[in-house]
Amino acid sequence: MKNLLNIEPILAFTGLIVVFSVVFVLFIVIVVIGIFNGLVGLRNRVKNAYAQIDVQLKRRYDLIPNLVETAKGYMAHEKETLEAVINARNQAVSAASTASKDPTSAGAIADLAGADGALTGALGKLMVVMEAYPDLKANENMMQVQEELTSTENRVAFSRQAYNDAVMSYNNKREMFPSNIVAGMFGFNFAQSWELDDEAARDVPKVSF
Amino acid sequence: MNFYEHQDRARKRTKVIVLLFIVAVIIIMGVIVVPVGLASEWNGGAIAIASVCCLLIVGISTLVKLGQLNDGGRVVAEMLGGTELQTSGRNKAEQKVKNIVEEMAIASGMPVPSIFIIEDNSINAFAAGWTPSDAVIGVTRGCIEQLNRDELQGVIAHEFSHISHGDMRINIRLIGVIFGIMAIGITGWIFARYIGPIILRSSSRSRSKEGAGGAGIGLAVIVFGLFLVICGSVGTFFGRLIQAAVSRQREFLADASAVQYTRNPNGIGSALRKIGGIPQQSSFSKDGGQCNHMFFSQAVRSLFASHPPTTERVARVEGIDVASLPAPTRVESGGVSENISGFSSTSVAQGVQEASGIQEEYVARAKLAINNISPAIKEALHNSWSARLVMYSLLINKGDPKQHKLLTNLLSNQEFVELKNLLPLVKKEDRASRLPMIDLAAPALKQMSNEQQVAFAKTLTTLVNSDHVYSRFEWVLVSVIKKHLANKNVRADSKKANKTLARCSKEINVVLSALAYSGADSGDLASGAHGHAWRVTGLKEMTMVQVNDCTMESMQKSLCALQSLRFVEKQKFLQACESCVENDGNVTVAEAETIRGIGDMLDCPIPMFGATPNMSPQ
Repeated sequence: MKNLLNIEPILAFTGLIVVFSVVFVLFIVIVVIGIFNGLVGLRNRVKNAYAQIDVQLKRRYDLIPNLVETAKGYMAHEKETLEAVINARNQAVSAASTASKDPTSAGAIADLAGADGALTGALGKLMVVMEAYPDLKANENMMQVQEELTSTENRVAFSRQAYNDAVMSYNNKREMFPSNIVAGMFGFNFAQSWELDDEAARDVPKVSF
Repeated sequence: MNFYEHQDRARKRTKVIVLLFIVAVIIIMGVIVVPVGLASEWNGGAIAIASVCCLLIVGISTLVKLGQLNDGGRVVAEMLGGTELQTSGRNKAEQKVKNIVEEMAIASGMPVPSIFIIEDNSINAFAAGWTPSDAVIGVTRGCIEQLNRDELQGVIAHEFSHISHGDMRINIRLIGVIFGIMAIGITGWIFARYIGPIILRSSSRSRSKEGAGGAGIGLAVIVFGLFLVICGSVGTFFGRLIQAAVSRQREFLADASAVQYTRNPNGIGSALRKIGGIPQQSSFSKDGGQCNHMFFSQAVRSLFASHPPTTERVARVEGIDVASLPAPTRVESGGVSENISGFSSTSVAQGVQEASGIQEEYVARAKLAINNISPAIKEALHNSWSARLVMYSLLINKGDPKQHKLLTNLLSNQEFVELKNLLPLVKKEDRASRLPMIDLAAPALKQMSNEQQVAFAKTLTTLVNSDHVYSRFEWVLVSVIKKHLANKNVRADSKKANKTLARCSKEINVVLSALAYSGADSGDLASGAHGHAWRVTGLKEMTMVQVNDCTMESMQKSLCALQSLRFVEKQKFLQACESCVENDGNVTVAEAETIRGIGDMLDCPIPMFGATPNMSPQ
């Protein structure tokens, strides 16, 4: 009996240590799992938001050869402008296919944003040049393609906004304490929002006579 | 059994899960406490400590997991690595599954669920969510590519049956509970695999006296971890047992319903044969463990199958003897090794009587209704940018200068141009296509970010308020859309459904009075309809609410309160609403729409055809 009584305080002490360590470890583990899953969810949301843009971009890139083909018949002297559009389009297509493989890679999105901006610029130039060809502007097919192109661009812009919102909530979670520790441990990379390159997108080329 | 009884039953079943869960936790505690007791010569303190730790592990992890799943089906689908199907389907297989899901949803009066594709070559599918509004359907790539249209339709019908029988909500609870039970093993594994070795390594580096002690502690931690892992395997055992107990019968019922919805036993039968004949390793086994019971066929093989053996399912669906089926080319899952005759064998005919919800002719009519909508609008509904514009056009009165001015301020130039293109098309549509249009837009609208959804809701409200007339259709449109988008309010919707009609008579009176006033030309007719509706409920009639008190706000508030009715009581209430509007002998499209809107608010999908809330087959 006496022996047991002597052991009891030691048992109680080691028991306390066991409880504290188990509860502490458990608490940390559960918090980490929770944060980890939260990050995975947000990253998947970014991917799904990108898929929305991707569908519209593909549609846009598919329309461009049609546009150029129609334009060719009217403006044989503007070979350079047309070629610039086709080149920009091809570069954008390859950037998009890289980006769709891993939409959370910051570099790929930045490249795509750049390539798409360049395409927008080249298209803008083509539109300005087209002003000199009233027949082309009145062409039925041309009008239809242009209409579809504008509509697609609006959709791209809208899904881009949804994508940027998703990226922002992912990046916020990634950078805030304590989730930033988990993000660092498991390699949750910074996601790139799709910034419009102001210069490229809004620089309407001047017409020189 | 009909939809309403199934919903109530599903909620009761949750109690069974809780009971099984408690039993499992007690047994696991026993497994942990007995060795601890032996080692400590039954010291009360040590035993208490061990039990508290055990309870904490299970309790906290269950709560954390359930908290995560709070956001509904989308989260589950994303957890399993699903990618949302992009609405302008890029290939034929994707278009096929999209069409089937749309037809089935319109037929059942549900918003179209978002579809998630899991890149995996095995054939599998699942449905997840709390209510029909936040439900998602997941299919594997193999499922949409290897199955033909009939087979795929059978599989999708099976998943819709899980939605309309309330199985999804049981499933989500199960995920939480099973994770909790398995957490002990996971904790043990972390102790044995990571923490112990870390202590060992750091102590071997120091090489001092303390180091030797550290090594001892490290080893003790590893042993302790392994002990927990062994206890955890008991937890895993019970987790699987609960999974199996709860989900097997539901699978038979869902198979039977799939036959009823499609009236084609060959579809689901041959899908099951394909699964049975071509066993494939699925690659999503890592996370699949907690979610086994959600899938169409078992995702991870285990001794306690969450699904009945495929041969048995085929036999029941096609109405033939199990023995007459050729043996599967390979043993399909652990389930086959079990005693097949151990199941209570209900025939399909029996299952069909039990099941209800979507009728096969509804699916055919839904297909027609979808085909009637012009392709340009359908295309627009599949994209969030233009789907918004279609919703706006539904609210616009043609030639209203005030709205015109309002819209020029609210919309960007391009949006305004597109709206102008869409408006005449939308106005040309049949009145009866208006609700299907809203339901078809659901997946696209859900793809908007939170910020975009807020802006969208704001514009809708502005449009509704612009003409100072709050029409019934406007109420239906706004409340249905808000219900579809309200992901964050899911918690409020999943609250208990246990009230009786008698306890909500005030709220019922508001809704019935409003319906009576809006449907009748004179006060007498209105009070006649009101009285008639009350007689249907079987309760004591209340005096009608004053016309001026029947505002849309009071109706909205009452319906929110009515959400907590038991489902069987909801059915009675909806029947009362119905008899209220048909008291004058005819049900207008606007009235049918209102009933649909009320059903939507109460999480009761009402098939649009016949618009009757009584959905039992006879």
